[in-house]
Amino acid sequence: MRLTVPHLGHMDIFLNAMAKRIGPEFIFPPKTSPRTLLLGMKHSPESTCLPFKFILGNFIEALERGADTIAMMSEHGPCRLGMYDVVMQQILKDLGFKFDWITMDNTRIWSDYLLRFDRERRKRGVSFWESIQAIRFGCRKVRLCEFVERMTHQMRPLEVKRGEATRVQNDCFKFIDEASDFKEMRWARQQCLERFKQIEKDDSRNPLRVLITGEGYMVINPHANQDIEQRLGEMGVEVTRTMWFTSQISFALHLDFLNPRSKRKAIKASKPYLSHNIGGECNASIGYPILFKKDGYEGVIQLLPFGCMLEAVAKNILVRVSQEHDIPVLTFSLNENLSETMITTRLSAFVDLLQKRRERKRKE
Amino acid sequence: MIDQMESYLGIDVGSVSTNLAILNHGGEVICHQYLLTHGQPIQAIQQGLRDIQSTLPKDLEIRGVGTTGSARQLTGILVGADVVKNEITAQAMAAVHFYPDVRTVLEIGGQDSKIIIIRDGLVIDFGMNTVCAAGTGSFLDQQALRLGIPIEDFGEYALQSKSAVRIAGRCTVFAESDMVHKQQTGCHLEDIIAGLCEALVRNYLNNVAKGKDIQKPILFQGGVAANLGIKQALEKELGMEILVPKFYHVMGAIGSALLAKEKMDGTRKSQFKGFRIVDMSCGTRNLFCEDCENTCEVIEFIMEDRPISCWGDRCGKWEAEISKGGLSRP
Repeated sequence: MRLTVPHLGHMDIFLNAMAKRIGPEFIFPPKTSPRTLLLGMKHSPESTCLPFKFILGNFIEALERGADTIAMMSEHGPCRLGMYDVVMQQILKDLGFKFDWITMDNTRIWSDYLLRFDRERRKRGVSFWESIQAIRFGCRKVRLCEFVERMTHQMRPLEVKRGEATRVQNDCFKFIDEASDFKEMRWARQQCLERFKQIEKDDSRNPLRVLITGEGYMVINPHANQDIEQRLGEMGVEVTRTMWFTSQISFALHLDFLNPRSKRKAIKASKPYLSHNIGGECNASIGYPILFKKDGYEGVIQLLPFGCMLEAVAKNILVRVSQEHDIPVLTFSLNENLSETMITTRLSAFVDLLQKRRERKRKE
Repeated sequence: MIDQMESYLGIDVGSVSTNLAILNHGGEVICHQYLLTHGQPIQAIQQGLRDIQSTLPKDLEIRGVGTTGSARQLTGILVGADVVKNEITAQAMAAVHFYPDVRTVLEIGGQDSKIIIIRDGLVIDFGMNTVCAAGTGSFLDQQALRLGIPIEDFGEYALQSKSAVRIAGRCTVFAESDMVHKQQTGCHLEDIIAGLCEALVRNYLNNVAKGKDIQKPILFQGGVAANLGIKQALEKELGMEILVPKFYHVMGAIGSALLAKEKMDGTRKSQFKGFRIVDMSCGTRNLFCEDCENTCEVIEFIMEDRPISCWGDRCGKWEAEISKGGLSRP
């Protein structure tokens, strides 16, 4: 079995770490590139959402590399993610690929996914303890990656040489991916801290703080949102985002009760505006700005793939949240045809707006 | 008085037009220039500067330069700008300068349209067209050409209409086929033009201005503000009076001159390269960098055979290369 998965945050680093210890063999799609999107667009229904096109492109490129089994998540509810697996299987079959398909959704997680995992484990002769260690190792790696990302978010607005924080970040990801045991991980962590300390920075700046929220795939993947974090960072804005690989896992496993900014708490905060949980990230997108406003965040950027129904609901409700909680919101509806100029123009206007607001508040 | 001759230049290079404005120290417009870009921003800027220079008093000194518009970066490098700002900030700046109590700015330009919500002289919200260009100046231009009437008279025709026909304005191509259809069924030209104006306004209000809190006083800026038909349709649809400022077509340029004035504060030295650039040979070169999967399109600006600046790369690598000979590195 040569398994493949779509690119989603640092999921590849997690699975790679686990697979190196206990298997199974993974064939990851190459990094998402313009070619990936072109392949996805060519074979997708025209009006489907952007994540569908990216993910389909990932699968085609992975199958070209020799993968023979695809694992794909699914969901119940109004989001189109629920039909991704069926439609994608059909498209890939029509293209003449031969493959097995594993659908992972939250109703079948024990029966389907974990049993399969256990069967695979026994077949390989891996002990239960070893597999627990492997999962722990993977989790540790992802957490370190996300730690590096958070450091990058804080460093970018302060860096003196444009692009340095991003370069250091990418080097750090390499250290982390290459570490093969817990000891090397500790060394990698030291290296990351060291490298970040060496970046030349200007501490006198007082960067604006902006929250990026919206549909999960668009928020978590820089390739899908046109590197919005980097663009904002280099305009002198400290960003954070609502969607992390670990936050999704801890949400699914109910392990986030200690986190004050968890998705569950965001959904709760959205109650006054939308009492019914309609699925996807809709409710969380409404609730997160309310939570982060209390932390001193000054602006919110909502990302949605063009045509996303759930986020379109959130978008209209956010207008009211923005007024009542006095926090500006900028919405980007992204599809494959959006030009770069449009993004930079809007981002820089938004940054100007926030800067002027801050100056005015200071005067008062 | 020497003080009187202190002035600030603003340049707004958009998809359709290139506008220049020169302001004195008090923020009054000394002169302005409006010309068509014709897809050649460098030539348009050089032409504009040449034209405006001939009208200036000899002892006038440019103390600061601001650029805006979709070619703001290129322009900034060409002329040596002190401030390079997006058009939303620039438009709002100019609107507040002339009408301090303005609360809404509607701006319809060549290829984009925006709405800016202002409270107490501060931008609090804005919107811009995303996936659709229906309802912008270029489309009106094209239709005027097709109907064989000069764009300047387009508004006049609309005003003469007694009952506007209903035209589907969601998509420019379908709007056009709808117009052709209405012509074939014998509708009057005036009614079709008025119908088109209404369709564009509906489209604008439903897309760009959706969910925005539109309050009086409302300013209407940008090249399309010259079109009385659109202004009337906007007033009808909103049920509110709309003001068109005197310099509606060069507000972006005025705004960026004001931004330059604010930044320079009368003390710092401007980076302006002077009017000599009108005769220099300038050009750009581009390449697709293939060092990573981003494949950025890197653009290099060349002045008098020397690479001056690079942009378009997400990693910042080429920016650093410029001192080492630009894109022609080994």
